Amino acid sequence: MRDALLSIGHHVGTSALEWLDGAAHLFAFPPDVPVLEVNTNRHVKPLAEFALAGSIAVREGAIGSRQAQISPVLMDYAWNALGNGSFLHELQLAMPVETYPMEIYAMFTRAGYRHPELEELLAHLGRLRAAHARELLPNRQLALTNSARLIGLEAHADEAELVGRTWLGNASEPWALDFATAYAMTHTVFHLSDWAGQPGRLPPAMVDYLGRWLPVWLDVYREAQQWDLVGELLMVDLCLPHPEFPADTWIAYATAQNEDGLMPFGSEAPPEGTEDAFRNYYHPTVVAAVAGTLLVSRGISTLTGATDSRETVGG
Amino acid sequence: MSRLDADPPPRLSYTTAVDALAASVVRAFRGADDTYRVSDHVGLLPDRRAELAALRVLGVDALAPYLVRGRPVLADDLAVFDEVTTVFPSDSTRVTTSVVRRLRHWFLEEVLTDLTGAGKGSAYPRSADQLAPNEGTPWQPWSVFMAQVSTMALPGWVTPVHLAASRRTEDLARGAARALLRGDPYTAARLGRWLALQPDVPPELGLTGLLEHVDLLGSRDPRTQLEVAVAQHLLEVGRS
Repeated sequence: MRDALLSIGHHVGTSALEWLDGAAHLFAFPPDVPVLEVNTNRHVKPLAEFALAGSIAVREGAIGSRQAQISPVLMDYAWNALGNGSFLHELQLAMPVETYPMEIYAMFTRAGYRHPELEELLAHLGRLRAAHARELLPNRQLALTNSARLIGLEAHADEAELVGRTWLGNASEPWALDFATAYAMTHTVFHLSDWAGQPGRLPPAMVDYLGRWLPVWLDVYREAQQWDLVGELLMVDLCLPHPEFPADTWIAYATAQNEDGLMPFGSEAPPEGTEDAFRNYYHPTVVAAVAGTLLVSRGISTLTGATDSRETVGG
Repeated sequence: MSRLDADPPPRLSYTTAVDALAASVVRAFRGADDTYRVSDHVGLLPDRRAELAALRVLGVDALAPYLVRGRPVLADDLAVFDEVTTVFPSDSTRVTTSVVRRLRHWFLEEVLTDLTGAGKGSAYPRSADQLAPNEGTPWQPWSVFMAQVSTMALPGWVTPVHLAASRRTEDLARGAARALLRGDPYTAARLGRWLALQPDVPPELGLTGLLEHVDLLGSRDPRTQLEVAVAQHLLEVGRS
């Protein structure tokens, strides 16, 4: 079964990365947009997620020759699209409390890219009182503490206190959940564990809680064919110190993926053609790329019985 | 106007009778009615057959106020059930009868025997033992089965079903959370009733809050309310 799972992860991840590669030109926002007119959701978010998928594939190393080949190319492409980081620097100068420049930059540092001026600016902004009083949801603030850690900056919040204010950190009633809260819950896990890079950072009580209730949410959202959320929930499993690798759900998830690698959001069929599908479907496809990549890398360490060094990191 | 036009279809009058009986049981549990008697529920409606059908459908649940609240049972109450089983005989010997129906019928006979003080009833049905979901059944279908036999979720019984419930508390809890997320408060209430008997319910499920929640969701459904009323009573008794 594990062999079959590895091949599922390989297929889901590689074909999603290939779709992203083919759609790369759609992720780059027009170079003539003035910094102050940049629309975060329209211009920045797609590229940020694109870089996330690439950076996780680079971090996890050669999980497949095709992936190892594509992912550095994707990262180079995205870094270039950001003026080798200078665009992020300009954006951050113009918008001192905007958090996206730091979050996006952190993904590139994961793959070894650096921009010293931006780092100097981020360190300066971190010393402002404003950095300690961000009007953000706790799971979003965890994205910032993780980014700061990746870049090597001082974190500006008490992470344990932030966790205690999340839906998940409160061990909330598992049935008091809706779509938006489910996404908030998955991101609490992603940021705390740095996208499965450091499972040991999840508090033991949270690991127990997820072990008990994650199967329920996987069951319910798989039945509802909410593939984007199913992909994120499967990733939550891969962020645990000892993933369950739920085979049935992985098979259903892989079956939902289009042949060209595009992952549908829900049960509705995506439009034909990359350009038309891009706006609504790049996100689930990024999720598929990351989920597939992590299934292979975490699956290999479990399959080969190799001591997964990440289990003890920070734990 | 023909007779056909005048009479509501039997299914409709049966449903009405079942809901009326369930609402009475709920009142008996919630203290609004200290005079609950099974025998009072036959002969009120013009359709006696529907009233008997309601007793057949609710089965042991119609007796729950005696069993759980310790109300004295009278001969009239038990005699009514003789009429029920005569009009609606058990189909347990048929191969096609589901294990849920077999178990519910067997348990009703056990309870009636117990209440008459006639000693032990019939043996646990072998067919149920073979057909009921076993230990290896995934938690989803297993919890749905347990919900369907929630009438057995009463204290003081040790059957294979009760033992399975106490061994798989976590799966009962998963099933209850799943049912609520799927918009099925009735199933959640029935699993909540099994959970109310267990000492090791995962605290994060928030059983008390879950029961309140399904009670509010099912405020127009007496059968959901019946399950909640029994469960809340069991929790209260368990705490004292």
